[in-house]
Amino acid sequence: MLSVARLERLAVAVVAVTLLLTGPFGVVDATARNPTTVGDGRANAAVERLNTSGLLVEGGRFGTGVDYLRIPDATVAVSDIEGRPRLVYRVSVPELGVDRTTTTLLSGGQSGTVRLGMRDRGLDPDSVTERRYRATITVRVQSFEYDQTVFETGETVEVRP
Amino acid sequence: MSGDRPSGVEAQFRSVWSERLSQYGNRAVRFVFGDGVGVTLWLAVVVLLALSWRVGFFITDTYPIANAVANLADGRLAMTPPDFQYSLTLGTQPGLHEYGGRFYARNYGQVVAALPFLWLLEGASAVAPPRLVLAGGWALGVVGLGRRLAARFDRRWLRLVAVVVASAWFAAAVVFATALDRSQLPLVALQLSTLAAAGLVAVSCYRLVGAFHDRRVAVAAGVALALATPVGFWATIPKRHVLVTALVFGSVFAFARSRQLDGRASHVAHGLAYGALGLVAWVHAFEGFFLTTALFAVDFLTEPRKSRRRLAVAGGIFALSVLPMAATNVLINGNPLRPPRLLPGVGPESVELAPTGGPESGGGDGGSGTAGDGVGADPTGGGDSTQRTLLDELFGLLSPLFVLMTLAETVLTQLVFIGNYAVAAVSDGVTAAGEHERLWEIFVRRGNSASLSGVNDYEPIDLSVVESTPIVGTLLALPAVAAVHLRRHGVAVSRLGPRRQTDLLVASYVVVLTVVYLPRLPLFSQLTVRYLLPVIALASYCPFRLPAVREAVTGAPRTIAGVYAGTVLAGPVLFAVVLAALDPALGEAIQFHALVGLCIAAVAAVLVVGRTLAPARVSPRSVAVGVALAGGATTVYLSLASVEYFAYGPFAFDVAGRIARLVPIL
Repeated sequence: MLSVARLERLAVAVVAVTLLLTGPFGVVDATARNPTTVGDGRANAAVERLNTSGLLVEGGRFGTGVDYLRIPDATVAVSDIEGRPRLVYRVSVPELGVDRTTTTLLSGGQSGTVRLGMRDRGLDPDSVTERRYRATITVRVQSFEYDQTVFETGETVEVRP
Repeated sequence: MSGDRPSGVEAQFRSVWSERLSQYGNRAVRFVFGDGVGVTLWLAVVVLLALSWRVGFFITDTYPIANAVANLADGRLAMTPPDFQYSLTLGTQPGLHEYGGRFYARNYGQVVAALPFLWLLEGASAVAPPRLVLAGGWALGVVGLGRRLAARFDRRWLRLVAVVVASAWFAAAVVFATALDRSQLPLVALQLSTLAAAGLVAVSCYRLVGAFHDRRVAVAAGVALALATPVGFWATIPKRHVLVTALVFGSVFAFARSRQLDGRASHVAHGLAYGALGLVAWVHAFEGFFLTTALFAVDFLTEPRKSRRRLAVAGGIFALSVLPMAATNVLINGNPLRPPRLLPGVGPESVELAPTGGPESGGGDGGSGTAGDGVGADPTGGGDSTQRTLLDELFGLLSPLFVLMTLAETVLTQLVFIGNYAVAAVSDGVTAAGEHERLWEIFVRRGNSASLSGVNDYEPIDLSVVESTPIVGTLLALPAVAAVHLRRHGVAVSRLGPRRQTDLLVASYVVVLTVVYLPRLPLFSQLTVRYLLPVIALASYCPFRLPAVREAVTGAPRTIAGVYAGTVLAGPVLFAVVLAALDPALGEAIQFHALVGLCIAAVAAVLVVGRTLAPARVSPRSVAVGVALAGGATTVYLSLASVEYFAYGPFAFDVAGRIARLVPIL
């Protein structure tokens, strides 16, 4: 039967050996499987859900005292991923000085739906003077060798009192 | 006997040495941690706070410090633009200073504290990937913690749990490992140094409370300081605040011991109270200056034993402790009393606690001669004379005297300058203390101040003192405690015991730091009023001096631990569910925490005041619930802030990132 002390020693030994095996003199690169940066590649993508009516300006809650441009999430179906492309979700409202982008890296075997969330954007209440603003929403698949816009629409942003 | 068994002698020699080494080791451990509980507490705090560690720059002021760590490790104090490893341009590094055409960071005490961690990391990274070095270190820490906890509570299964957790975490780290470039190591080392300092805050608070009260209260106070105050928030965000807080607590603890002990031990502790502040000055000269003044005042007023020996020990230790700062300053600009903060800044305007510019007289720069050919010395003084007369030779012989005189003049000019500045800073602070709206915003409800909101994309991400640290709200009971005490014991200020003397010191530190920072607050990007972090930490120690809170810990330990654990486990889930339904913006989520924090602070305060005034009506158990909720509220905010709200870099542990992705708040 294994005693706790022996288990501890085993765990420490496993950690040490793993460190050496994955190190500069080791035989395995542990980090190769989990890339963090965009590379070459491509993918098919189609926007599944993007509630554009959720794009609006309203007052902040909980005593924040600012206005917010509410930005809806985008749900995108992706398939046939090759290499390491990324999904780019961009919302711009030029008259409010807003141009926000969120990206997510795609890698092989990740087929299915990807949710792209974007944080609401705080606005100076004094700068919101109109009742409506024009906004552009785009969703693209992008890599060093590939750039395909899969969704693009002009929207009207309502200002809620 | 001696000649025929050299190996035996050698072995004996070695064993003597190893014994002596382990003796020194034990003594060092006792000096820093006090006892086994201190070590366990430190390890637990570090292991826990590391979970939410992100490797990145949260505030741009960290760029020059991290650059300085990288450069100092390479043996360079002065930097030129090609030496910048992080943020390459000059306009993007607030806190970068220029002297003689070279660039310097500030807080060199902090920079030097990070170096040992950098050496360790670089050593380990020579044979293993940096990302897994961190995970491996964490796993070893957990195994060690399990052993200590198992021994302490006599529960063997804790070791098993620890081994399982450590192995699972490490295995997940290997599976999800992403690359961590070696160029990040100076930043990682800087973060490790403040993480270690956060553990020391907990340990020092544990020892301080332990000097006066029950051990259980002491442990509760230590845990609270690290996890239920913003110390945890800043643990892996390598600003100076946690390090300064650790040193300030060290100073208070040493002071308390100096009042309890007698003889040589007391003298040394007394000196260490000053010594810790000398090291604060190496991190932030003006904080060090104001704190030392406060310590001196309290010490002078309350110390009956003013022997020459005692003064000599204190003076000696203090002089030694300011030596690193003075040496750094001399190497940079030749003037031991001119910290980098007084050198011309490069980049955005600073609002730090430091006067703008230095004294204008030639005396300021004249001392650069003492730096000789030092790294950053003024290069103008080296002109060779062509004709040396006898008179020159004579002057040459006297030159050390001149150097000394110039140095004395420099120091004097600088002291007058600092003195003037100190008077101005305090009088500004006293004026600011009369502005009610300012005090309300700093201490109670921050919300949104229109004038400051433009800075972080109009996001009101700042919290007030009580919003971020509800346990400080229980200090509302202080007047009640004082009233009850006075009614029972009358006024006896003339002879304060060690405990009350220490209280007085804590109060003085709190007041002096608050006063000098008041005119600068409220300010953007303070998050948890970070300039006041040492003040908040000291104020969070104070509840554990209140009888009502102590009774709650000793009388209902299971309640306080259970409610706290429940809050910490259920709180984030509850917040996530509520906030996911509300779909808030970042500022809204944070202000939601603020309101919850205020409510809980009010409840805790009412309970503590009630217990103090009418002990028959309010049980220790209800106080325990209130205090545990208040502490839990901060812990919940800390964890969500790092996991969800402030995503300034990838997690040190990729597993944490995977978990964070599942939290659907923003």
